[in-house]
Amino acid sequence: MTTSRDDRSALGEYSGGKSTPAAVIETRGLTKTYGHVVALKALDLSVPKNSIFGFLGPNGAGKTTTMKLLLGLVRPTSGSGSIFGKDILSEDFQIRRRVGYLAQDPRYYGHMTARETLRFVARFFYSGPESAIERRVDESLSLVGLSDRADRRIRGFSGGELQRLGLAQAQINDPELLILDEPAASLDPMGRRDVLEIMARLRDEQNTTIFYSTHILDDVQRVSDSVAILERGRLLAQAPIDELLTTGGAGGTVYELALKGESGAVLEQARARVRSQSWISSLEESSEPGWERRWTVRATDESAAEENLLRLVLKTRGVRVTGFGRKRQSLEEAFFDLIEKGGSGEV
Amino acid sequence: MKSRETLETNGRKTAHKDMEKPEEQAALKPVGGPLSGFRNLVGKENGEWTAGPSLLAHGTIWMLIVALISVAVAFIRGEMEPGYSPKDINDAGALMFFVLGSVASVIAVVAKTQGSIIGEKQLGTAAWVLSKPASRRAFVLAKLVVHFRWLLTVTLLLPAVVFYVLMTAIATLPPPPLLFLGGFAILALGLLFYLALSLLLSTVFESRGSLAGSVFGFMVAGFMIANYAPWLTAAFPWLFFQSGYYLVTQGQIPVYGLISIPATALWAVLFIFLALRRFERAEL
Repeated sequence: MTTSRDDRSALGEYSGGKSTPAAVIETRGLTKTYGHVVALKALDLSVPKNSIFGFLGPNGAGKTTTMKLLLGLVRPTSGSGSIFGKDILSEDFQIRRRVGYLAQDPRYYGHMTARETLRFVARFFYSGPESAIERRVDESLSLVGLSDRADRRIRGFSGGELQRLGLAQAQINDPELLILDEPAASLDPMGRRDVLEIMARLRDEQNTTIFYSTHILDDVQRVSDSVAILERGRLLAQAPIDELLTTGGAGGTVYELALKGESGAVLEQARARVRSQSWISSLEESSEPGWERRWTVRATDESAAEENLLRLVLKTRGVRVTGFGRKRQSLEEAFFDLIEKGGSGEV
Repeated sequence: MKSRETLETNGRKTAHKDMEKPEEQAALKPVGGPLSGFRNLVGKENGEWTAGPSLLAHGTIWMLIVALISVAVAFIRGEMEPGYSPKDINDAGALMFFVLGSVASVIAVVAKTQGSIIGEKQLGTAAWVLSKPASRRAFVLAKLVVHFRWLLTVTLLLPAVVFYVLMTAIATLPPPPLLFLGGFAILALGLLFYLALSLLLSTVFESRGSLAGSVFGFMVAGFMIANYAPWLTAAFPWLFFQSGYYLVTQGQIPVYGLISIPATALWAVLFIFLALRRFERAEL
């Protein structure tokens, strides 16, 4: 448990460990091992209410295990977790009444039609007049565009149709929290776009919190409010997406500078001056033609950097600054940056 | 999937407000309780039996093996032995019926239930269902109830009815009805025992082969043990076919058979209890 927290502080993690006031999901040191294999290592997660929270990581990172732990489908080896303030171990039944879940590669009963499948799911949540249940089923079919295939046996459904059915069954109870494991997998670009739209609408119109995993980083950047990145069971970062893109994932704020120097010596002098500052955590330099340089500077103290960085460089005689600004990474860059650093043990 | 416009028109919020009648919405009550989802799961299990060819296939096979072969053997014995009385013909048929009925129920249980829980765990449908507010107890009990219902019907009840009618026709004397009913009840208890054992093992093993091998192995071992440690047969349903046969033909059950009936019932209850307990903690 401690190891992971220490790792994350070394990484300069942002909000992990802090309790978001209106968190729907919270875990503390949630760990799952299978024999000697650690599937999830002391996960501290906090998913804010009414947000779309992207859960990223390579295959085998522990995303599905986390979701199953939250739903009470597997039991933690240690640690704890809560959803809506209810314990995931002792109050899992109450939690499942308020949650919708779409599994990765969802499987249903092949002898049922799409309509029968949704009716089957709805009856776990509600009893009452058939007409009310049927109405709910019809709405869900319509929401995902399966009305015209409602009475076909799902044994013959394509991967995309199964995914849509999965989304329909996950939201049939108007859940306060949707847990979606790879919801856009096996969908074509149009289908993906529609899934993202449905997710955004559920958040905006029904205040649903959506916790989802995906490999499609573009989708995450388009629709998510916050993200967490997991690798080999370890949480590498957790932050609002804007913060993650600004800071590059590894903590601090990243600035880019374009410089021209009279000689290599003056550039070296400027670099040494900047590097000596306690609030600078790294400085990467790429060479351009002549005495031109491009620096990527990571600062741990944003205000110190914005007040002093440019001044420090310009203090060196013979150095001119042709460009300066805060760098905003793509999620892909931030993701690979974190994974590679996490994997090489540099964090 | 829908276009943005259609989606927005048919959105849940809009739909709930505009499409669903308020009284209908209010009439929907949340489901709960320790057996939450039981009725729903029973409906699903029944659907699995009736939707596909399963019912017809099992019905045909067991009718042929349990009822028709038994009657045929009794008929041939009657034809071959002119001195056979109607009771002798009935006894010959009863022996075959109880032997084939007890073996058939074990084979049918394994064939039908080996993938019941294991298959659902492997496919992921168990995880899907249990991610809803369905109790794990309900999941197992629904399988027990529905499989017992249909297996009893196709392997024993329907063949028993046909056997009884045909035996009455060929022997010109019906087997004693109450005693025959008693023998049938003994076989039914045996079926429940093997079903409970199979469900328990499906919460233990991860492969169908191990489950099938264990259940068959238990049955075959029983026949062998009967020769070396006959007292053990009093604890299990291995010789239920003899108990049923003696009850119908002689109007009484041997002592070991009398003991084995409550013992088997207790085992069945214990197996069901253990299956529920194990599945409660199963990782899906």
